[in-house]
Amino acid sequence: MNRNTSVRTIGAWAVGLAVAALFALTGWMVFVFAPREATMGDVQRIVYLHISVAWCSLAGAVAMGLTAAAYLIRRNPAWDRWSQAAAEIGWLCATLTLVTGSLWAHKAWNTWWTWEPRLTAMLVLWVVLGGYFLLRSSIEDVQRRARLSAVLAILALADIPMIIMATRWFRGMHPVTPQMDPRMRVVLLTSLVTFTALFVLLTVLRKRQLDLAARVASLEQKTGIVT
Amino acid sequence: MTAADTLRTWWWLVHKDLLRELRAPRVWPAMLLLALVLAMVIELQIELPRQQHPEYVGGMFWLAAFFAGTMALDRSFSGEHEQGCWQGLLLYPVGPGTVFLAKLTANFLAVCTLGAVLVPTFMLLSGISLLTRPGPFLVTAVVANLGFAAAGTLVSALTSSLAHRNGLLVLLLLPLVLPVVLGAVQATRFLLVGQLDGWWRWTQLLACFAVVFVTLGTLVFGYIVEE
Amino acid sequence: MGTLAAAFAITFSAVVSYVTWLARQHHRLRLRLDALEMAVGAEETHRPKSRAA
Repeated sequence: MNRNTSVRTIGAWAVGLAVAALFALTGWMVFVFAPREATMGDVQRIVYLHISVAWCSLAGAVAMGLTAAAYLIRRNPAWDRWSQAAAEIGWLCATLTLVTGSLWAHKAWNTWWTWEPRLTAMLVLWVVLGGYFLLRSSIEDVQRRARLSAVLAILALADIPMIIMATRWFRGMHPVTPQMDPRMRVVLLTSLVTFTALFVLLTVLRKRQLDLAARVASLEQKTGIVT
Repeated sequence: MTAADTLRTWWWLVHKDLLRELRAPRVWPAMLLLALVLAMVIELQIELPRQQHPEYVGGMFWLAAFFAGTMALDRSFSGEHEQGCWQGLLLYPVGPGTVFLAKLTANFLAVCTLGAVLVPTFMLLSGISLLTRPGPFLVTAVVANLGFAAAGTLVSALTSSLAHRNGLLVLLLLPLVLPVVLGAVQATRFLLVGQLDGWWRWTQLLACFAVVFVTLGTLVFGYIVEE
Repeated sequence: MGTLAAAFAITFSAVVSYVTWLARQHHRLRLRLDALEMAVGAEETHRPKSRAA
């Protein structure tokens, strides 16, 4: 057990360092390598960050839904912990998306908020994930909590494509895809990879912590000792 | 169980709920009254030039309908819990999917009745006819109510067994049914100004939502109610 | 430029805060787990060995 634990710890540190290195690379690419955008100037560089965290929050929501389905089928509590971890990091990324989007909107259009389809969909996702946590916090029993929140996660996952469609159509039928300089595309790709790696790392770390908490809780229950 | 048996059981469950409501009205009167109050308050506040009214009366109608509708949804399972009939419901020799469809039908009928009362109300208060094209409007209303009732029945089942509900239903439901809200409002708006292709596009989204959530509900309802 | 810096700063501090919180929680949980495992271990040494075991 101890050897296994130290292998996992070393693994986590190694990945952490790799992610940090990726961040250094991305940082350089975003601030130095990426060309300065003609109309907006340097502020446009926010987009690399904004799109990356948006992608991560979506990935988190999808992971939450899929692991929830796995829990309902398998009934292994580890799946429920994956679901919770993915939802948490997803929610964190959704918050960052809204914040960076809002900052960008302020610079670009002089307004802190705009009902632009992507931001609107992200806000809905943020609220849905918040609801998921509220539901979880209202249920004491571990198995019941896992089961009910898994159902909600699946409903949310099924809903996401329709939310995206609805918000996209709401603001005109033609989504605007920004024309990107090939160098910008490379930077965006690097940024996406970096943030995805970070997202995966954080989810794994959080899930491990939830595993630990579950073991503590089960031991406390068995022994009757409260630490 | 044969299909005929399932159908019979489904009808019996729906009949039971409707009859109970008819004999001891708890939900429908409050829901209808709330809808009327909302219609009154909304129409009182909105002061629009005559030409813009058709664009917005649809939105106001649907907001009032969905908000009052959550009242029916909220109470659709609480009755069973309060009177200790929850276990009885689970012991019916019929699949949980059928129980879901029965509850869905009862809720669907409730929100349709709500709509039927609200349409003339809004027409009276605003002077705009929502029924210039009754056929298409009815189609939109049916699919919107079906999707709303499906999602609402599921979320209501999720929250009904919780000790501290405190408005969790509305909080969880409204973001999930955003496609329905947007869809119904936009479809009605396009219908009232005569743009039938816009109306059709949004109605298709509503139909898609209804299909997804009715199907999903039939599949996952068992997970919600299992003990 | 200030907006750009703010965006990166917020993201960076959010991630760092979360990781710090994770680390602290992990440390606390580890302590609790070690204490519990020691207690369980002590219990088992003091329990008379049954024939079935």
